[in-house]
Amino acid sequence: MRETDDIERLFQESFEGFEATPPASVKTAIDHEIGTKNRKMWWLLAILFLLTTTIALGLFLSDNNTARNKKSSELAQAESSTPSHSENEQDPQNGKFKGSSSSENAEHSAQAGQKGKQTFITKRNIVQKQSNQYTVSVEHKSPKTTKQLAGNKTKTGRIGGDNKSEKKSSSGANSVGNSSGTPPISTTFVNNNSGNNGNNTTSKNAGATTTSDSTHTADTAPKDSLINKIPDSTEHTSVASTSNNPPPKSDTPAKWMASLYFGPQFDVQHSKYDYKSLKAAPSFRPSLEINRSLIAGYGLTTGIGYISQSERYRVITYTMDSVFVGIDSIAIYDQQNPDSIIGYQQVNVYESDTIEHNHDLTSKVSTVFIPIYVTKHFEFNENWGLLVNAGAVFRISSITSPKDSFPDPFPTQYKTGVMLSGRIQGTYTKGNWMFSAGINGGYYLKPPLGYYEFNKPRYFISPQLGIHYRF
Amino acid sequence: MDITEDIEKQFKAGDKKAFDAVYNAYSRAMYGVCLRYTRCADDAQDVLQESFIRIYRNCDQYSLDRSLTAWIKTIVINTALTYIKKNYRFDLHEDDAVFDKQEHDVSFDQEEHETLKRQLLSYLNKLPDGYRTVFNLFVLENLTHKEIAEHLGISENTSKTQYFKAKRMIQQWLTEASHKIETA
Repeated sequence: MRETDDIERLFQESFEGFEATPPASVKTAIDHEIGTKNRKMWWLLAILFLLTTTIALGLFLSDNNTARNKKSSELAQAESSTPSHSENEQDPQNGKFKGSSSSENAEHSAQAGQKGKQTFITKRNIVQKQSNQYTVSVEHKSPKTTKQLAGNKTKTGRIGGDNKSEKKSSSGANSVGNSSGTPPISTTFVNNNSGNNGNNTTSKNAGATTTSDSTHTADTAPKDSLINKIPDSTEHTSVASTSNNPPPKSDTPAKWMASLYFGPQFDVQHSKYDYKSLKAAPSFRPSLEINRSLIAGYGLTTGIGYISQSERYRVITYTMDSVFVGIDSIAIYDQQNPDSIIGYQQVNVYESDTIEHNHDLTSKVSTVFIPIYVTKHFEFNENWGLLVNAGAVFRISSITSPKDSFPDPFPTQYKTGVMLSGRIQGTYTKGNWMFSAGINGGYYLKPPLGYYEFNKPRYFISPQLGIHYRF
Repeated sequence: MDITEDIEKQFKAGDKKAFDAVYNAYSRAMYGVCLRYTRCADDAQDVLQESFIRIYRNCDQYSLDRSLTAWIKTIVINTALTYIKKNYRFDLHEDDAVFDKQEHDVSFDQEEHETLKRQLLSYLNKLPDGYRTVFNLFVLENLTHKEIAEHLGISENTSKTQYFKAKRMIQQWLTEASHKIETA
């Protein structure tokens, strides 16, 4: 046990229980600082929440689109494999149309067989589909029209019973239509068909089908006009479905990609700042990441990584230990004759001996980081490409002091920070696997440790290799 | 205000009101510590402020089975040393290995204790940073020179030199002060 002298005792006794009241401004400053930190934390949490929500929403919408596309594709497939009349049965209006046709056909059952009826239905539905003039079709079937036609040229009974007279009326359908004041019916119908066939004769027949189309169907006349349309119409529908909703390919491109990146990280900072310096030892930096492809080849990447760094902050001080004062003499030359020395002048020479002191503060900074990147993969060909990431890296660091800190190691501190970061890597793809190599770099928006009056920009650079699996 | 166990628990949990109670209970004593280690009151206030910010941010690190006073004082002293290293030209060098080991007798009037305390504090503040730091650690924190040398990254001899130089300087000031009093 060491002895205490008077001065020691004097100080020990004097300062035992020594207290002084700090000004209130100190507490205000503490409260302000703590409050600011809390607000910063809230901002950080809010940003994290927004990012998470955006990612979740993006994924959700993307999944919805995929599901909808799949459903449409299935529907398109079903449509393309179904006969056209079945397709029309799904339409309630077409169903009505078909019903009236059936009743109409029932009237003409004596003239037209079952086959003819089917043909008639199919024909009209197809015509309707092609022309999109549904009103015309409805008027076309109305009894009123039938009566008008019958009243103008023929009797109803003749329509049902006399093929010859019906043929006549058919041949004179245009004049009948014009005289009866119903040109849209026949004209539209004719135009549609003539537009498709370019056959006026057929148009006339079609125009005459207002009441006796089934009869014509039973005959041979319409076969070269409307029936021939069936394959076209079916084909058209099928093509349209195909073009709008492509069926899912068996080799759907991968949406997800799991990645493992690894490589050393080098922190770059001004090595000298007057008499202060900061140096972080290179450290291994692995990270596991997951990427989701979203829109137009762009995707989002997130994951988790870890790095443990040893960081040394050094303050260098110089003290003048001693000063040597010497006497030296300088020759004085004659101005007119520079080669001749006319005398000497004595001068004092000062030499100082300085001592350098290094005060180091070494901390171990262990960091878990979460990158959030927007990703774009440029594929040059089947195998080679370029993977580009840009975004932010959120980090939480635990900082521990060296074991020999006075008087105990400082309690571990936890700090959060953000970095702006980017990564560019060349890629080689083979099957579902992809390999990459490139550079990851970034800028510390907020370093884990701050040092007094030492706020020079800090960057990191990390050459990395990557292994990826796409699924 | 006494710090009860409940307040300690709330403080550990990060409760702001408990922190305020801790500040009210310890700020005066800790400000005294800060005054001893720094050159002036402004610097002491900076150290106190930084210390209590650290205390609040690391309150979860506090172990309830330890003394809260000791834990807080540890942080305050650590902060003070960091502050000194960062902001003062911290001169610690051994320029004369052979130092004066003569013991000095100091006489003082107990009645003037408060005045003397202020006077001693002013002497401490006037000491060069290296002297003051070592003197504080050796005399008032009861660390050995070996421990001081380890913590400050200096040699044991340097620590001793700094201490004896500090003591000699204080002795000189005390003698001058007593002469002035006698003359008056």
